[in-house]
Amino acid sequence: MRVFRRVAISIISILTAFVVCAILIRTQKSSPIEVYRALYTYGLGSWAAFSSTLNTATPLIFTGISAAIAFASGVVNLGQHGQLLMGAVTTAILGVYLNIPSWLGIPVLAVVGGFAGALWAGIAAMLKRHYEMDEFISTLMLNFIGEYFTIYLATYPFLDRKAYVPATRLIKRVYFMPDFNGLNVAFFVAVFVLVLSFWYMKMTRQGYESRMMGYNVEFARVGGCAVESNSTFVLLFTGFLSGLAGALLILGGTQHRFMKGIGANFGWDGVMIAIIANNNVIETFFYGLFFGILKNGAIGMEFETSVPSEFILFLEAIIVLCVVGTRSAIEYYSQAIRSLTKLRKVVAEK
Amino acid sequence: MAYIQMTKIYKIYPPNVVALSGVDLSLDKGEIHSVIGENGAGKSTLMKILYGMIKPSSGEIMVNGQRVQITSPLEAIKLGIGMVHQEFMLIPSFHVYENVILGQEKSIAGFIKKKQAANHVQEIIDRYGFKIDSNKLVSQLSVAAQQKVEIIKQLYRKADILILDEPTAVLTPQESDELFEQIIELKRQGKTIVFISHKLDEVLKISDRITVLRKGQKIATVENKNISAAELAKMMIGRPLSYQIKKSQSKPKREILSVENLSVRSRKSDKEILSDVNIYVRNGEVVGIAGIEGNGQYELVQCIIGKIKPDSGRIVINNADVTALSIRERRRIISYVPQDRKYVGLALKATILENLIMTHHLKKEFHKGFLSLNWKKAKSHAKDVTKQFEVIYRDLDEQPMVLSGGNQQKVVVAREFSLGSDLIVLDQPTRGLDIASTEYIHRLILEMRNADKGILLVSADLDELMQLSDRLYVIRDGRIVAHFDPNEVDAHTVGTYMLGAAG
Repeated sequence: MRVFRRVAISIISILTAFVVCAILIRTQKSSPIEVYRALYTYGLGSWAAFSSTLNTATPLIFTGISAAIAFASGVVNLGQHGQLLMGAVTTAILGVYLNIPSWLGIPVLAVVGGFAGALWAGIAAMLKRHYEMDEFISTLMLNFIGEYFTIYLATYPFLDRKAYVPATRLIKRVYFMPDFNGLNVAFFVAVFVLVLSFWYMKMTRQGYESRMMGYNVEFARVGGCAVESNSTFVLLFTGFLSGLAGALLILGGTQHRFMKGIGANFGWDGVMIAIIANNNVIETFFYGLFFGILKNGAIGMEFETSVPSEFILFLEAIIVLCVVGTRSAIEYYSQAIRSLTKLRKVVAEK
Repeated sequence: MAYIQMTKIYKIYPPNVVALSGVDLSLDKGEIHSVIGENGAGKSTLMKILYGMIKPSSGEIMVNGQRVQITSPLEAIKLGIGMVHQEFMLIPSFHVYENVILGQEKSIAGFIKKKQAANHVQEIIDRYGFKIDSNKLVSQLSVAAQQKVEIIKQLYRKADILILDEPTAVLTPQESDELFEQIIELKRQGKTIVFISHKLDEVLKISDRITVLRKGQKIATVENKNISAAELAKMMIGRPLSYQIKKSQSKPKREILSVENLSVRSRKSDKEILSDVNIYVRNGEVVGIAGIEGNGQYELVQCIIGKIKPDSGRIVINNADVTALSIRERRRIISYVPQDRKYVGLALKATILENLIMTHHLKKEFHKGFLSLNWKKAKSHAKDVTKQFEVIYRDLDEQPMVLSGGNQQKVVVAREFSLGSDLIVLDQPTRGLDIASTEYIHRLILEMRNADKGILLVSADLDELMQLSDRLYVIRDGRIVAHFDPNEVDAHTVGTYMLGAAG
């Protein structure tokens, strides 16, 4: 029942968002039907489009699940962006110098990238544990430090002199992650992470404690949950997921090197996806896919129509507002209707 | 013609909780009108509607024969209606007069004439015979005096009708008597008083008329003549009050909890919150802690469960020193019902099932494999205890938010009592519950006592303490000032110690 309700809310709000955007496209004298058709064709229409969509969605799924687990545990990790960059730069640098066989190198590089992200989140975890510093601020600030620190690394010590922009050298070709017919292995890692995260949150004792902390931290503390060490673990684990996202971007993406801007907006998109998914990891996965369709379709849309791809950012924002708004509106009105019918009944009984 | 007439008031709290169904209430000028009913009967809701804090679902209100819409407390004050809440809304670091004039200051070019304001407030205080200095800081006043400041605040705003929401709940018997004299003085000067309570003897002592509410319905409005407490109780709960606690003599053999020389200093003010507290609890007995709220009983409980680290002293449970242990380690051997069920006792947005297995999840039998919880066991456990403790719910996946207050507390009690710990710490276990739930929880407490558990009971309800306890400590200013057998003293004597008036 609850699952059905949530799916229904998502579908209604996405449709609402599409209608609102259609009106806006219309006012710009473009055809909404053409725009949406292009979105569909380039986002879902063929295997090539679909596999490319899944590749685009992969980093979003990682950062989204990272944010969802953190928020659901009452840990405000907003540092996905910085953690992702630290993971990416570590993997990119090691990928140039490491000299081991491919079957071992790829997993090692991915995991080391993840640990780099965990380490970056670990700074916030340490500040929280020892100085009671709010991770909300520390993770946020570490984003900026991470951003410029990684650019520094790519601009000075590890600069590839042949590149036109500040970038590290290409990683060894043996460490390029394989793909199946265009679908990169990184996506399967994302699916694995989804299953692992779901299992952690729903089945394990620590996951139970974490969720209870998210609902009511005083309740959890008094009930005997290990609030401090769970928070630390959640920060490290979600940092690891973001770092892994960065590592896979290097190993499996298209650049295979660290360059300025490679983190795009994955960190913040992940936070946004987690919020619309109500911090539920499964919903986060599906919203990640959906935003992948939009991002990938946007490129085609720009080809075919006069609507610029930035329009998708606009559509995304409207969708977020619609989902959150619809959820509250449905809640509010269904309660109002229920209390009104109850009032009628009570008055009639008198 | 009635001064205030509320007609056919309905209130449905979303989604479908009927708080009031077609209640009429009329108030005459200059009377003391009591509104009585159990917790959850709708007394406070009805009064908050009159005070403009809650919007009724339907119904009308007339003041002096004119139909009015009271949409905010500001509007109510304009109509001369003032209310004193159970929780005070005072700023402790402000003087009495500053608190009184706050929000209604008379100022010249933005400056308040302090001296003038203080004099004006003192005038009001003297006119109605309160014994309070308007230049004192609120933080220096007792709870009873703070309550008076709240009343003065309403008088300053020219309230003709004063609604007092369970004013005696926070007072000792002596302070209550003083409050009643004050109320009668206010009546003599022409004010109308609405007195909300569920303590029948108080109601019979001071009211002119009494309105009885039960489950959101008005049962009757009666003149306070030739009516007995038993008759009122019958109207209030729908059956005669059968409530008698019988218990056998306790035969304790060993100590379960012993608190030795416990002291806690406040980090903020460097004041001692607890000083040199020594208490013990043995098997098969209920040990009560009486005291006016804020005298250290909350901190004492927090020390026992491990949330506050004491500055000195020791806590021993079952002969093991636990002073250095964490909450997690202590909760394996302590059952604990916190005073705030909504914010500490439960996670209202989690499911009932998840609420019921908290703390149990630390036990081996709820583990599965290396990391997982045994959800099958959790479910069967939840089904067993909800049945055993008579929790009424529809689905274990529902949120406790939808349960009534009594059922919420039963969830907490079911969880804690089924832990099987030797030591049970109860902090205000029946606060805000209706009579049936209170009775039920009292029965459970005695069952646990007879099952040889050691029970520490902190309560603001002196009657509860007198009835349940085998031994009773009185705490004041963070010190244990008395230690009684409740069979040998009466409530008044205990009250004297709570106030610190005993030589």
